[in-house]
Amino acid sequence: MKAHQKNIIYLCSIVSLLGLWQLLANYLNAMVLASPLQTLTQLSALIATAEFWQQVLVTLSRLLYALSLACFIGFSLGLIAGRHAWLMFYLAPFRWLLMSIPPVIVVLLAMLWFGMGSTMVIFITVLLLTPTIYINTQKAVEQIDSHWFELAKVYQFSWFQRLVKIYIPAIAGSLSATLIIVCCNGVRIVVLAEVLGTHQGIGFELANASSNFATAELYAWVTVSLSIVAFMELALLKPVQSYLLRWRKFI
Amino acid sequence: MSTNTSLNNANTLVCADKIKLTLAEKTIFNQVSFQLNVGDKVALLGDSGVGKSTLLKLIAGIYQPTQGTLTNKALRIGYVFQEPRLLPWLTVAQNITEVMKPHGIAKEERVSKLVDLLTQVELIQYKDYYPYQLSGGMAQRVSLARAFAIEPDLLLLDEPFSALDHNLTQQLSQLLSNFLKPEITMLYVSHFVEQVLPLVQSSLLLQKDKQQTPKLTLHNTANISEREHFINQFYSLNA
Repeated sequence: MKAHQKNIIYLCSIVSLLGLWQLLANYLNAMVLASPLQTLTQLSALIATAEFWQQVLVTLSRLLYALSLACFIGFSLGLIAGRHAWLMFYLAPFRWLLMSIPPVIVVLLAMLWFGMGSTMVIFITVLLLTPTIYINTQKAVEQIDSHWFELAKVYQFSWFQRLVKIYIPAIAGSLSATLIIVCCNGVRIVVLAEVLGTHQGIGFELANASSNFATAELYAWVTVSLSIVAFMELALLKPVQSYLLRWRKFI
Repeated sequence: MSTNTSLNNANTLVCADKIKLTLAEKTIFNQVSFQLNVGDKVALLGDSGVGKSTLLKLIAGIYQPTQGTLTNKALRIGYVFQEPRLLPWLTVAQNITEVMKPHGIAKEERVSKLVDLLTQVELIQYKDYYPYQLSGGMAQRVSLARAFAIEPDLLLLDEPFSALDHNLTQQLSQLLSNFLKPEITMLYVSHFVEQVLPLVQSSLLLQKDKQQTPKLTLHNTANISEREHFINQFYSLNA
């Protein structure tokens, strides 16, 4: 599909979403659902304040730390476990535990251990995202064609060459899809943790707006949160994905 | 070239002494011995499925023998697989230069070698292409150039042209003979005996015995009359 066709489809989808939102806003009470125009007006007012940018920056920095740490741990362990079955079996119970525990329980426990603030938010996000990155990396490494390892062995590739020229490109497709999921979930978890246990960040502002019945402000912060997800996917992850998969025939 | 082994010989490059290989609880070889000396050009012949490619992988260090000793003194092994086996995410140029890096070849030298090799295989204008953009013959030429990029002591060829048509095979065989230097030791696996014999001095024939265990026998195929005799013998054995 050509780029301009994709953009038209994206645009149609956004317009449909806004139309549906406006339609619902016409029928529901303004205390329940702010209209797109009210939200946009409130958002414009918020953007003009220094505090807005401070709060966004706090959330973004928490997200950046958490994603970096989760990616480093999950990717490293997945890479090793994909080649060494003993590690996969050893880590299996930890993965089951972390993937099945409800996030709200992790939030409550983390608040108990770390108190309110950034450490707690980062801890929860890392804990909940790492298993997804780990399992996807491990499965992708397992499926790398053994032909490439034979080639690397015969031509005496260094570990760095194997990592950069074999492992990463071979799992890039699966990994970039995982990163999109993880980034979206990352924003959700960070905001959730901020709602429940911080004094700063988008989540905190959401909780504030909700308790003050400031519906337009609440939807404005939701829009900010959605915009972060959209920005990460379209402006950061898609170009990285296109670069990593540039060798494929039909991209 | 010999099926009797003597590692003490300074000229010996590869020495397999009574090796046994078991894969997935199945014995592939047992009591196989042979020796390759520096500069030997040897064909490894035999039926499909007899274990020729496996023997090559043993020599290359991809597999380890279950029993016996296999010594390989080659520092640089060039390997041309049945399929081109080019890394699909690297360009033609990157596929060739990447194998030179572990051997400490400086960047300038890598670039000059690349240009030289791609000129010889007539693919210089395709250096920035990805493997999917090449035909089968072009990709196999790149694979051949990659094997020679490291100036190998030992060249292992595993039916490299089996998927190509007759004309392309002739062209690539010619290209291979242009690349071959006297000091390079070559072991060429094929089941197309006429294709490989002009390039070698002797042949190892891998055949299963009555117990279905592959055994190696050495045949001198250095001159035309010996070759013809061997070809007749080969076909009568495989009839």
